[in-house]
Amino acid sequence: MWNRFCAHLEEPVDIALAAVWRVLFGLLLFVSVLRFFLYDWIYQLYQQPRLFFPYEGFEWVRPWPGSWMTIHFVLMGLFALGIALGAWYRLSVFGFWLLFTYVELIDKTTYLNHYYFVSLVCFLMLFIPLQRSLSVDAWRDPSLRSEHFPRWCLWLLRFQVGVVYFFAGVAKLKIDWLFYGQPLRIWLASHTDLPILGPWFVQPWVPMAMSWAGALFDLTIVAWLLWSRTRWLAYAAVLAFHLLTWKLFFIGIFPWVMILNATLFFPPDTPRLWWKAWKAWWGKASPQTPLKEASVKSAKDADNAEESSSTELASQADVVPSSKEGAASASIPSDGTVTWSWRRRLAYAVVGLYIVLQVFLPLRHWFYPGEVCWTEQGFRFSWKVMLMEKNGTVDFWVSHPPTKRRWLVTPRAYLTALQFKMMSTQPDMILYFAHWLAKDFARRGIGPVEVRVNAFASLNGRPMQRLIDPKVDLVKEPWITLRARPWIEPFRRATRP
Amino acid sequence: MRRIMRILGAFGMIGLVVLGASCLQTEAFDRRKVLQDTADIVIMPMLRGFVEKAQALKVSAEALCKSPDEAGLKAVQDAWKEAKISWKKLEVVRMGPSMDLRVRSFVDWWPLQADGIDQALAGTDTLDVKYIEDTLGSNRRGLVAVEYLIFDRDKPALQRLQEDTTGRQCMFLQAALSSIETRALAYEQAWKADGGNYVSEVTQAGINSKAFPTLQSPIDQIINDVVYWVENVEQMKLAAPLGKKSGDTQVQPTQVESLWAKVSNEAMAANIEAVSALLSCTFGGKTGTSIYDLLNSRGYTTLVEKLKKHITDAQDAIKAISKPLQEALVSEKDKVEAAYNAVTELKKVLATEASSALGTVLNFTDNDGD
Repeated sequence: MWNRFCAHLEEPVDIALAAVWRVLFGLLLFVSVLRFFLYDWIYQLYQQPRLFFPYEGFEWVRPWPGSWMTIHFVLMGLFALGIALGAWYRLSVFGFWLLFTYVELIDKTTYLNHYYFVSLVCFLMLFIPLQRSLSVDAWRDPSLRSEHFPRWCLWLLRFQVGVVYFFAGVAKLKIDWLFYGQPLRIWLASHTDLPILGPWFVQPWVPMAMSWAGALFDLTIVAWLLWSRTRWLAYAAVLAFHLLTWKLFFIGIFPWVMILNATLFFPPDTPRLWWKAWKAWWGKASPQTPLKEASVKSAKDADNAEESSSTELASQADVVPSSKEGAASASIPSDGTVTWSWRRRLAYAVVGLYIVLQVFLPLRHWFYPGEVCWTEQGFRFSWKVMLMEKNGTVDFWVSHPPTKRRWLVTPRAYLTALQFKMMSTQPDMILYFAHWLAKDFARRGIGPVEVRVNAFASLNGRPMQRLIDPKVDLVKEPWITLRARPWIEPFRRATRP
Repeated sequence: MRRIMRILGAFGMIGLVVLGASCLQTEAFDRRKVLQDTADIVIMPMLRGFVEKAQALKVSAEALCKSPDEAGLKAVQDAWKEAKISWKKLEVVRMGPSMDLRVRSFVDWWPLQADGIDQALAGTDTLDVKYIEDTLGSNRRGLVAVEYLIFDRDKPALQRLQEDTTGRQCMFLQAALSSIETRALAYEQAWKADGGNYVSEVTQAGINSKAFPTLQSPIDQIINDVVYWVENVEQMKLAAPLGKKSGDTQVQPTQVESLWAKVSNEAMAANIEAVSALLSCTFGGKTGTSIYDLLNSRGYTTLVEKLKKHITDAQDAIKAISKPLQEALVSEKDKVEAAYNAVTELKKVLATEASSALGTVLNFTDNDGD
């Protein structure tokens, strides 16, 4: 059973869909990098700040000095184009993944779920031979060319996209979201001037209906996309959902990334069918087709397309491996059993571990007491997308017991507006700033000091509550810990948002 | 046939949504009227008021310099106080031209670097507007520099003026006031419909505005501005003189905003009055549709009452300081502490509950996203 499953995963399937996806994904990455130049974010986010909020264990990740940060982004842009063109594919994917992830690790302030997603997908692409088709690499080296790749490659990408939707849906199964329609109620009220849809947002039941629809969409959309009978309707829903969120919220390229990613659930030979249909409509054959015509098949039932094309391709692959990298899939005997070499075992173990990690991370907040939107322990890297309207304010009090001196520190004097806004509601960033202040005072010859805070926040329109215990000296609290942070005041849900 | 039915069905759904939208009452509360009224009733009159006070101050200073006497000096000092208080209201508006034209850095940046002014007075450079604006830094010009010249310090101001045989004090005074007037007029012009027309950027938000892509964004900007200024009053105008920021157990009277004219309390009250005016759309005896009305329309009546109470508490606490701030820090420290606490409470409600209820975002980067 297991062997047959593994053999099934390793059967070749048409690479056309994934190749087109790679081109468009690379272009989206390029646009994403371009935006950093156009909006001057390189300066605002990585050169202007005096200090950064690193991730635990990644304090060594700092912005490069001088114009090296600009060069960093130029290289990222070139690697993104390399991905789109399939030029020096492995190097481009590795380079982009490394540089992009480095940038994202510099400052927690700029954490975005879709940036995390980009890092994960680029990591997966390192192991997926997407340069076999529609690429400069395949054009330069014909031995690389292939019209298929192992099925697991496609399903790993689908899994990653599915994880985003599903856990974004799970995260919405909360009282505020389902029973108060918050924070959508607050956000939609800001967009009542939107043409056509705006007047609907005034209706009291609409935020509630949209909250439920949003949760159901996230939880089930992958299933609807996988089922051929509902696929087109589901994709229309994907388009409507993401275009609406693009119009309503400042969420950058996230909607476009997800609109593209949802296409991965179409049959893998879809681009060929479309190309064929286009040619038929155009009425003349192109002298040079971008995708190899030979492997186009006339699949009437889209649901069977993956199955039939893979069987057909598997038989080809068993006879003549069509590429260097396709040799692995050719090692599957025709009886469907898999030879368990140490490489294969290692590969399965790594992929298995990755999948377990991707399921565990979004749920890790269950190991911490309290409301995750309040404590934010286990909030990042868990697809909690557009889940809360949280605003806060925080004052830092530094005291020096030997001299009984006490300072009120204004964080705005040290932080950018964005850093201040982000820090004022996130306990781990407040803790880091407290530690940073203690070191800063020590550098000025005043130490050791104690740092306490007056921090308040409002979640989803509720009256403000104290966020952090003002009696606790945060300098004594460990910055790196997996334990619950008892100095975060418990969230009082009793007040209705 | 089935495909045609599906297409017809899809168009039917879209048609229902559009039809429903047209039948539905459009937004029950007119947010654009909040912007229009806030601009017409609060911001534009504040701008005009400051321009008039700056011009009156300049005229009175010219008269004083022609014949320096007690009455002339008193007239200039009164005109300065009116201009200062007028500016303290206007400075709370930080959007657009305020930042683009760096108005604050030319009109009223403090604390003052007095040494720089003394050096300029003792030097030989021509003291004209160009020198004031191009050579002197933000902390050596504007209303604070004028305050340094026209109020008593180590010597009575009149005596200093009369003893100045070089006339450089008057040269500096008139150049500084010309600079303030020019900047005030440019600032007003940038807002006016027949000038830079920034007022239209605000009122046409989300329709025809480069500065504000959505109707919500000017409201976000106003909330960000009032939070910023309430925090400024709390931290710079109260906490610093109380010695809270410097780790001193003693108060710091030299840290007050108005060291020589002694109007620090009035300046704080004017800031808070402007915050109240922007939220309530009430100014100069006129009232319009306000952010309070917007919050009420969304059911946040308790929050509106809370905001009003905290603003009144802050104003009352500042008014309760009966002496100039530098003296009150010593003789009425408990009252200054009470004012600090009241302003802190106001800041907390504005930065958390009001921002949350309005869904305020920073107009900084769409990295503010998911």
